[in-house]
Amino acid sequence: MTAAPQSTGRELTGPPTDGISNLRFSNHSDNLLVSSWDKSVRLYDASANALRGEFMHGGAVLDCCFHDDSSGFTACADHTVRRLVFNYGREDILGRHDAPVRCVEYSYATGQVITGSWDKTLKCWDPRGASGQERSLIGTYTQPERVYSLSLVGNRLVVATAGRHVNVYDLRNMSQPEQRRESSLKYQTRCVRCYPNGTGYALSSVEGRVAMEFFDLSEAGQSKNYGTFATGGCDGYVNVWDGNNKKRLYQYPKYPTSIAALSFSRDGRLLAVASSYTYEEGDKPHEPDAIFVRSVNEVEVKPKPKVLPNPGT
Amino acid sequence: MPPRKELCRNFQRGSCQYGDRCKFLHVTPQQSQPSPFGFGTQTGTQFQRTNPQQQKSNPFGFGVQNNAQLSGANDFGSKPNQFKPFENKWSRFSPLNTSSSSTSRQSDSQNPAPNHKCTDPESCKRLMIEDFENERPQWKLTCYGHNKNGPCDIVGDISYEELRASAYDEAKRGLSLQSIIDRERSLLNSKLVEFQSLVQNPHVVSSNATLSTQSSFTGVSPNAPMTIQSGGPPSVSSFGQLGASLNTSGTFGAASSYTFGQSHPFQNNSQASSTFQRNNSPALSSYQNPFPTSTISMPSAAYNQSEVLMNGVNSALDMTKSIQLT
Repeated sequence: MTAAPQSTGRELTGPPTDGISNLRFSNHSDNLLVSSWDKSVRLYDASANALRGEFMHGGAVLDCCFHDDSSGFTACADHTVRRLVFNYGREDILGRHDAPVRCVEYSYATGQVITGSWDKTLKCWDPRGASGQERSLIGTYTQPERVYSLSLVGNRLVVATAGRHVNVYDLRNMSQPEQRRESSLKYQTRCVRCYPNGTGYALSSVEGRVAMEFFDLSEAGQSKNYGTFATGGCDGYVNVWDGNNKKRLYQYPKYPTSIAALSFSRDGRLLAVASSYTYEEGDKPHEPDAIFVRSVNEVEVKPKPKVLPNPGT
Repeated sequence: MPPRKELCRNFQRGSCQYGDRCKFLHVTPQQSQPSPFGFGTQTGTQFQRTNPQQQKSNPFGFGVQNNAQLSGANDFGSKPNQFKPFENKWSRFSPLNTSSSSTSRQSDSQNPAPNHKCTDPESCKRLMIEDFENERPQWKLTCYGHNKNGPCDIVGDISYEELRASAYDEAKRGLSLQSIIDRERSLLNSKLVEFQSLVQNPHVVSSNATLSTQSSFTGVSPNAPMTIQSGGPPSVSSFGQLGASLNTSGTFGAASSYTFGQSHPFQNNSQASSTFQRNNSPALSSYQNPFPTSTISMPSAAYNQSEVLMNGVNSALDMTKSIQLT
């Protein structure tokens, strides 16, 4: 494909052959890691639009993350947590859960891999040791329900489970959660993401809403703590929101099917969009799964000045 | 000669920057257009999928007959200004500013109202009815709590990925597509019945059933969950229905751990969490007997999701990293 990027962004060649579960930009380059229901994890150079590597797993891969630019971790439906070394095309099993592993994150603060599973546990792993669960498992932490999403910032970990439970942990003391909450939304939680400034997290649900939460209540009232963020929905739209004004900043042109995953590059220049049917209507024919990488213009994501309330109200 | 009458791929996908100047053909598909997701049935038009296979109801188990559909073709048929995106005309009162959260919507914090307290079953019921009429999500296998920051009234939600994983697993074991669909559909029906029953008999599930512990962060203590019996039969409780059928079913093995990819469907523990029952399970068919077979139809009020702020389901969030409000 040599045509100029279309309104949806440039479509990556060689996408996965089945649904995309997640995609992530590296913190060090424009490398993009993509996990898929076709049991593969693929590494792309998003700027060059080139497939750099592919790793097959024993089941659908539900999540992936980078460690550094040369290695990463994956969460697989065959209950395994795997470590991938890109340059050597090597992968090995870091450990296992008792059910499909839904989420994986790497904590730079602690140097640990954290996974959440439908077996209702969170596990922390040390990736430096040899493979095998005995060596690398640091701890197992029971959750009230199956883990659906998790996110890290600094020393904090937020876990969202089925049944609208949310646990907030301090990674330095995992013996019990720092906070136990229920979602402030009324329906099933889809996704949780921490603010990069570490003051709180955003939580989205199947009803199409996003709740903005703070770790520390004293920060809640301040108006400058929200940033801008993007959401992708099953309607095929990617929207960028201004958390302060609680308004939409921008809407990108519609993608062919549900937005399964989003990722900004490390400098915010690029946005990768996985347009991949997410099964929200059960099994049905759908558009082919595709990955689009688009440039991000400042006007699309820059918040507008804070709207002051009317004096009369 | 360049193919001037070839269909324009961009237009088919939703938008073409060249508009009338485009040298490829801009034509809308033959069938009536589905409107973008979530824009509901304001005009009462029957929307159809562009997929010719689905002329009538979706056979794939999710009964979205009257819902606005989304399958890649944009809505060029109807008037573009008929409904404004992201204009939520129905406003749910936002919590007081002292609470730690606020939902991200337009016209927010305009109408602060006290948080709901479960002191009166009638007010709980009113709130639930209002929720179900105005904000029923498209995804039906969801949990539900009428009290923000409070425990769920309906538990046992299933995520897209779990449903998909289960379907893949069954297909690998050789089950036919139709039997997979049937199981998904029966799951859906069970959940819909739970929602209907909840509104008829608001029964707040006690916290024992859903949480092992519930501690509150200082300053934000969720209302202590109360069990309100409204005099309905115990089987009506949202907790009981799936659980009852589960207990009577002999198809679940003794293994309490989650077995996936094995011969067992999803295993339930003490809670009525996600349950994929075997096809032709005797427990299931006996469970469904008391209920009218027309449970497959959607409550008609559920699809007035005409203007939902965030159009559909947000399955991905990402934070802009370098462009921040300072």
